[in-house]
Amino acid sequence: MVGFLTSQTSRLKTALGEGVRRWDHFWFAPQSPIALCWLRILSGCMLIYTHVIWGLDFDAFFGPTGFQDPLLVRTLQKESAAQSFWWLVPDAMQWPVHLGCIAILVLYTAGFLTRVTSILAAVITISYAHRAPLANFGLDQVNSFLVVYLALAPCGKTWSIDRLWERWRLARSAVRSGRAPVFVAAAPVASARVVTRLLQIQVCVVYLFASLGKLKGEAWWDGNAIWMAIANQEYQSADLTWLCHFPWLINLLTHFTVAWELTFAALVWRPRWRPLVLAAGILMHLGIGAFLGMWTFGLAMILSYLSFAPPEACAAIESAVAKRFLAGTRVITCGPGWIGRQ
Amino acid sequence: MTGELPEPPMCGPRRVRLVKCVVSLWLAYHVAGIVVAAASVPPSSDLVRSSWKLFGPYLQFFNLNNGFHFFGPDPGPSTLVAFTAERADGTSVTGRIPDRAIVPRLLYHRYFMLTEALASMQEANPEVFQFHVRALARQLCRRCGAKAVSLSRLTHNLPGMDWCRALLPLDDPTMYEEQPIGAFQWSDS
Repeated sequence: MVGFLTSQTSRLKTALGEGVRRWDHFWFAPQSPIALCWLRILSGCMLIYTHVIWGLDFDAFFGPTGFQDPLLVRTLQKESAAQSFWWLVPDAMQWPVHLGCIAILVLYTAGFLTRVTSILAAVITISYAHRAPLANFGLDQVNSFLVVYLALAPCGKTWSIDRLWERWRLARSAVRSGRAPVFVAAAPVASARVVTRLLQIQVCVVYLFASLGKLKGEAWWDGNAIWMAIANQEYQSADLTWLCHFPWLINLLTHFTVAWELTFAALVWRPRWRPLVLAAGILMHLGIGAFLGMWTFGLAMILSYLSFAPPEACAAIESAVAKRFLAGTRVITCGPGWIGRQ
Repeated sequence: MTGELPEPPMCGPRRVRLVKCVVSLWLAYHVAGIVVAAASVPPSSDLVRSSWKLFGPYLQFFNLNNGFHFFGPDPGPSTLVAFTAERADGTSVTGRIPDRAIVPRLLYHRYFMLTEALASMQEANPEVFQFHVRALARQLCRRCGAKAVSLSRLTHNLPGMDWCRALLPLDDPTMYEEQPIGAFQWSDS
């Protein structure tokens, strides 16, 4: 009996140890932050665009007597923890603050003082979304999770003004001491892995629950849901109603959409399936952009796929770019976990 | 030239373990939260609704409390708002929100979401619906320079495939259902 208990305890310990080791590797194995830096630039451009568009009719959406006046939004959010700095901004200061926010988003996208501007970008994005909740849609949800997660990442480590400034200082120091300038490639860090995993899981949750939500409806089962989307004139940006002559194709697209969303979270983790799954997603979102007029949402979702880009490929691209444009400079790669400067 | 830097100066293993434990706890909480947020879209179980109390404020604060039910359960008909604004000089302005002439598309979509929200609020939250309608009326009066405005909810029903095979237009008047919302004076908006 004692022997049995001992062996079971030992097996349990081994299994637990293996579980901890896998958890540690999954979440904390150092990873290059290059893909996250690219994501910062691309999603930052989307943030700038989103907020510039708010400005085209700013008073209507954010003004004290606009479509979403404070009484309406406060009533809607009375039991919510949603916060927005817009509640603190005097009416006369709304436009200057809006312009300041866009300036901060530009700095964030360019990677200037990224540690600070990434947090400010998250505050700005959330505050706009919480101040104008009735005009929000999928784009705002994707913008929010991208900017919140990137604020936790070293997303200014490369492809940024911060990086250029650091390189300039290192090069100046090297030249002054008679050495050749050195380019230190972005080092793999654990925080990049954590944020990449959060993004990957978030994207999986988006598609899994998008498909489960669809399965509650009849039209996604009887094959007519895609027709109902393309026959909706308010969404329509290009006419696809000629597909009424090909009902089998509408059925096929409907079933494929649900099947793809439902299996995304399982298949995207498998290296052989990943390119196929992501390519199908890109096509689907481009289709949503082209035919249902939601380019911004579609592109934002496609950008989130960067979290699935192989870190080695990203590092190879950066290294190739560095070698191409920094001829005569030593290129140094860093070991895992390196977080200091040369 | 490519070289390797020496192993990095790391903080002590005990401190690293402690940081990883704390971060792991947060990660487990966060991932559970985003799953519960999406799962709590009705119909949902008592368990999920109870769990929401644990995660709700945290997720709401970061705007991560989303259900992601895009075009679900079924893609439904659109809701528009038709209005007639009456100016002091006796002229009137009629229009619809969203107006398909609005560009860029993202701005159009913002307007579209306003009227879609109106439809969902009418049944789900009548108090918010009333405030929403008043805000719409006031803004339309301001925009049109009007002293009064009347609003109607337009439901644009979706045609079947037979409708399009018969070459009938999507915006045929019979495809719309109109439901008056009310008439509003500028003074009470």
